[in-house]
Parts: sequence; structure tokens; C-alpha cells
Amino acid sequence: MPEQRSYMHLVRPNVAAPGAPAANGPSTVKIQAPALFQILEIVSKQVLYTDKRIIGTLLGSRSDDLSEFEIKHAFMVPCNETGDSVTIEDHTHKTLYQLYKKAHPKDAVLGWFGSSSTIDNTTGLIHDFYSKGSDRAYPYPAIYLNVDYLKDNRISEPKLSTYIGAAVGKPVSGVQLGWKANINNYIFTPIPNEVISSSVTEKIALNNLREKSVNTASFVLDSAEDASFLSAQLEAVTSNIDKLLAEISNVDNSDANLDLLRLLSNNLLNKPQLLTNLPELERLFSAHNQDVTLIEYLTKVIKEQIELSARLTATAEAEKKY
Amino acid sequence: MASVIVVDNELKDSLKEYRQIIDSAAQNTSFSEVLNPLLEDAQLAQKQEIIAALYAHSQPATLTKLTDKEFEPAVYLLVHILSQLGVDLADEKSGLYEIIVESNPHTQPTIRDRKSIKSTTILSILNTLFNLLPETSQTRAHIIAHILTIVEKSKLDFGLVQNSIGLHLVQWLKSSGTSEEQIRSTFWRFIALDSTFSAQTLQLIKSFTQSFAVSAGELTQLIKFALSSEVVDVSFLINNNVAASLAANSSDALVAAFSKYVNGDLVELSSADFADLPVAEINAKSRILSLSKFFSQQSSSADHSDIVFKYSEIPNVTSSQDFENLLVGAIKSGVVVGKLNQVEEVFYLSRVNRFVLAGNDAENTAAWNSVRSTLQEWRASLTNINEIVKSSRENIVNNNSN
Repeated sequence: MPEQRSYMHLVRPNVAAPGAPAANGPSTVKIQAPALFQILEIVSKQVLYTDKRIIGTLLGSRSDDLSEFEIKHAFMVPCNETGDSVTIEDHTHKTLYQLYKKAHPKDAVLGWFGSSSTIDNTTGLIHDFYSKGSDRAYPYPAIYLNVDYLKDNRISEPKLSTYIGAAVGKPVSGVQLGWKANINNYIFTPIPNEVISSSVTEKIALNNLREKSVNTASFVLDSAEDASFLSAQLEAVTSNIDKLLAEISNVDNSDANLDLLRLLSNNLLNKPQLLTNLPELERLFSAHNQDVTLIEYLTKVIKEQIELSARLTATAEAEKKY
Repeated sequence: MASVIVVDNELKDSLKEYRQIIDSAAQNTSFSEVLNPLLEDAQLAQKQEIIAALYAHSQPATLTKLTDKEFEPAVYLLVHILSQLGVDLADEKSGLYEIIVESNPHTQPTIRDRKSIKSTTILSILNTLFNLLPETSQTRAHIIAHILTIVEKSKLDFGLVQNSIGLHLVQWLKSSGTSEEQIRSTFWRFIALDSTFSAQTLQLIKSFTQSFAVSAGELTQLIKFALSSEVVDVSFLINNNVAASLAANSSDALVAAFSKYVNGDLVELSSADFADLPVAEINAKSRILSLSKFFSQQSSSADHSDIVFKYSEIPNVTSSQDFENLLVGAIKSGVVVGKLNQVEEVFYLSRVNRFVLAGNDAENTAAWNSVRSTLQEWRASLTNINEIVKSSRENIVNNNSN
């Protein structure tokens, strides 16, 4: 079932960035799970200051053809809004970015994030800040990630939207210093995004978070099950088979059921014979165990031989002395 | 939120900026001469005159003189000005869409040419306009039609629109209130653009036909697409709607041949009857399917080994080498998985695609029963595996203590 999407994304629009390639292609944003947690932690402060804008910098890598942006880290940048103008603490942004850059020299500023229900002129101003100047996304286009989770001051499920700012009007030649009225014009065009977990450990942690209840007082991951891991996995598979059997106990000829039947018959009916041939399985398993035991015995014997030989040598040498 | 325009200028400043763009593109001041008197009024009261002047001087002949990098921002500025002047972007007859579509280059610029307007730029503008409109706007359907026309005329790579439009087409069209008939015609027009007959497009057809009925014409297009594709096993396309349409049009020669093909029966089409189809490839694919049907039938029959097949029992092959070639083709296409012992001339089957087709109720019921019994066997063996592990552990412990 494809994701429901109300917007279209065929190609990246023309952006006012000298580093952007001439050929247009589709773009996508990948958000690493730890970076998303950082972003959510930062934007959740919006609940405390509803009248104050919370923004931050997105860090990560981008492909040469700008087809892929990967957000790996994020930090908050203080900003103050007064009327139509906005002041961003550039010094904090630069300090934190330089600090990050020392540990991750290949990563760069990708853009910024915020939590807002609308896109307005201030959004354009902030986007302009991130699109121009050193230690920002320049000469590449900046991306904007919006986390919409407040509806009438009530917290709802965070909705992630990512945008790229298409240029509007006459192209500006060269780098412009300062904010001029005619340069912060953008069409914020949505681009697709997906949350990715980059390593196996992250996946395990995410699965644990999903399975365990979060609101318990003591949130301790149970690792005592490791000893009987095989049994637990066997039970998990058995319970899945039970669920599947219950599901297919009474089926009609709908298209979804036919797809399920096709999948099951293509993959199950020529199962490995060993799975159902228990005596053979038992014989192989005990043979394997015997092999392992034999190797253990041999190792032990050799070890004892070596120790014995060392002791004999030591005793012989000691006797020589007397 | 879809696309949003953020322009910090006053409307008058935007008009002056656009005037500069048009004047420099046209290399004359005719637009300035028309616009300047209209801008003298601080309130810009003569909106209709300004709109008329904008349309008159923003014709494709002028706009296409801009470079590729200038064209798109200029059109966005025009869109912003028109919306500020009260022009409804959802009005497809406003003239804006004509300007954009007619600016599409008739011949594609060379790769070295970085200045001429590219078709992808036109697509990008239509894409942004699509996003500027509300989901319920009928104009969204017209924009999709324009996009398909540009992809078709400019011979753009179908991959550009395959998933980005294909996966959401029905959802967008339904939201915009498009009639079922129009949705169907737009979808099949979209499918016709895929000249590579890819597997992904087959999946799009599958999910579409699950929700919409298939007419005789659409069935013919489906069959031709499926047979021309590199995908060998297309039985997944036969859902209830397609099965009903196949049954209703069974007298047609193409439909009859396709029914035989998806059932795994050997078909031998001749190029004289089906001139617009790659007949040789279809016949080769049909041999693979017939082989997989043989494997699936024999492996589930009681008087045959589940997985061991000798070369000599394979039908429709002329020699061992012929069978091996056929088998490699079948494995390559993903229909069969197994191991080949060339010395002993034996094939060990690991997996084979079964033919699950809507409408074959008796076969499907039997397949469900086999699946159930396999799952139950598997479940029983899993329980026993656990016991085996435990008893082996105890044995080892006991042996050690002895």
C-alpha cells in the first residue's frame, strides 16, 4: 500500500544556488532516527513557549546531484522574532557547527528545521539565512524540515514535511551580503522524506522501544532472555504461524486473499524436507553436538598435555639444580 | 501543506521586477510602455488591464528567449503576480497553463546546451502549480494530463513519472472529483507511456485493476503490455476484475492465448496473427511457464518425489542441453529455484511459482488446504525442534557427568 501523498514531486525545482547541478532530477530527504529524536526533543520546547519560534540547524550529507539529502544530526539555534523581523544567533550556530565539523569533517549544513503550522515571510527570512553565507548550506540549496505537532495548543502525532525553496523572480547574480528585500522570495515546494535507521543496533533499540511500554516508572530493557534466545525465537515463529493459521482458517476469494495465497504457495509448498523429518533432524543435531563435544574434548586433552609437559619440564629443571 | 509562495515584496515591486525580466527577454520596452501608466495608480485599480498586459507580453515566444535558469523563476513570479491580482490559479482557461505548456521545447536540447529551456523545467513548473492547488481542484486532473502529454511528446524517461505519479494517480484524481471513466482513461494513457514494459508498471496495473473494472479495450492493452514485458510469470495480474473481463471476452484470440499463457499451458503464437507483439519472446516465456507448471504439479502429486526431477521425465524438451538452457532461463526469471546436478542429470527443486488465478476456485481451495497442512506440519516440527534442543542439552550434561 503506497503512502498517501497529496503533493506531487517529479523533479527538483530550479533553486537559486550556484552549487546546484544543471540537470534537474527528483530529490529525497532521509532522516536518520537519532537525528529525528534530537529534532523532536528540540521542537517539543515549543509547548513551553507557544509565542516563541524554535528553530535549529540540520547537519548531514548530500549527494553530488542533490538527489538525496541525509540528515544525521541537528542542534538548536536561538532566535527572536519581533514583528516582521527575526534575529538568529549566528554565533551559536557557527560555534556548534564548527564543533560538529571537527568530529564529522565530511558533513555539512543541509538546512534548518522548525515547528510551525504555516509558512510565512519569517520562514522565508530564516530560509534565506540558511541559504546564504559561509558555514551554512551555500553554495547548495538549503532544505527546510517542518515538524507539525501542535494543533490549537494540543499535542498531536508529529507530521514531518520537507521543503526546498524554489527561486522566484529575477536571479540574483553573485553572493549578496545582508538581507535585501528582493532576495528572500521562495516557493516552498514539498519533497518526499523518510525516516531511516542506519545500523542494526538502532533497529534493535527502535524495536525494543516499540514493544515496551514507555510510560512505566522503571524502563529497563530485559536482557535476561538471551540464554534461551533460540527457544524464544522458536516460540515467536510458532505464534506467528498460529496467527496465520487463524487468519486463513476462513478465507474468501478476494484479491487480497489471492495475493496471500500466491505468496504462501510460492514460498511454502517446497519447504526444506528436513523441517518435517524429525528423526533425521534429531540425528543431524546430535551428530553436530557430538562433533562439538569431540572438539571440546580434544582441545581439553591438548591443553592438559601442554600443561603436563610444562610441569614436567619445570620439575626436571628443578631436579637438575639440586 | 503543499507548495507555498513567500514573496516579501509589494505587488508593485513584483510587477516592476517582472517588467525588467520581460523587457530584457524581448529586448524592447513595449511591456514597460503598456505597464508604466497602469502602475501610476498607487492602489493598482486597473487590475484587468494589468492582467491583460501580463498575458499579452508573456507569450511563449517571449518567455522562451529566457535561459533555462531564468525561465522557471520568471514564471513563478508571474504566477505570484496573477494570484495577487485575483486570478484564480484553478481556472484552467486563464491562459497561464497554455503559456507554460506551449513553452515546452519541440526538440530536446543537447546535453552540452545549458541555456535552452528543458522539458523537465516545464514539468517542474506544472508540478509546483499542482501543489499550489487544493486537493479538491479539478484543475489538478488537467495538470496531470498536461504532464503526460509533455512526457509523451518530449520522449522523457518514463522512470521520471513512474512512481512519482503512478503510485498516487488514483488518489489525486479521486480527491479532485474526477469521474471513474476519466480516471480509467488517464491511468491507461499513463501506462501506455512505458515503452520498457517494466515490472513496476505491472504492479501499478495490478493494484489499479483491483479497484476498477476492466473493459475489453483496457484488457487488450493489459495483455499486450504483460506479454511484451520481460516478466515471465504475470499470473499476479489475474485478480477478480481481470478474471471477469477475461471470461467476458474469451472468444477473442488474444484473450484466449493469454488465458492459456497465464495458466502455464504451452502457447505458440505466430507473427502473422499477432504482428505487434514480440512473438518469439512470448513463446520462449511460455515454455518456462509450462516447465514451472510441470514442476508444481509433479511436486505436489503423491506418486512423485517432492524435489528430485530426472532430465528424462521433463516434457517438451529436445535434449539435455535444451532443458538446461530452459532451466537457466527459468531460474533467471525467478520462476524456479533449485540445484542442478549435470553429472547425474538430476534437478533438485527448492521453489517454484504456482499459478494462483482468480476464478479457478477449485484449484485455489486445494492450494489453501495444502498451505494449511504445510503450516501445521511446520508448527508441529517447530515444537519438536525445541524439545530436541532441550533433550540434546540434557544428554550432553549427563554424558559429561558420567
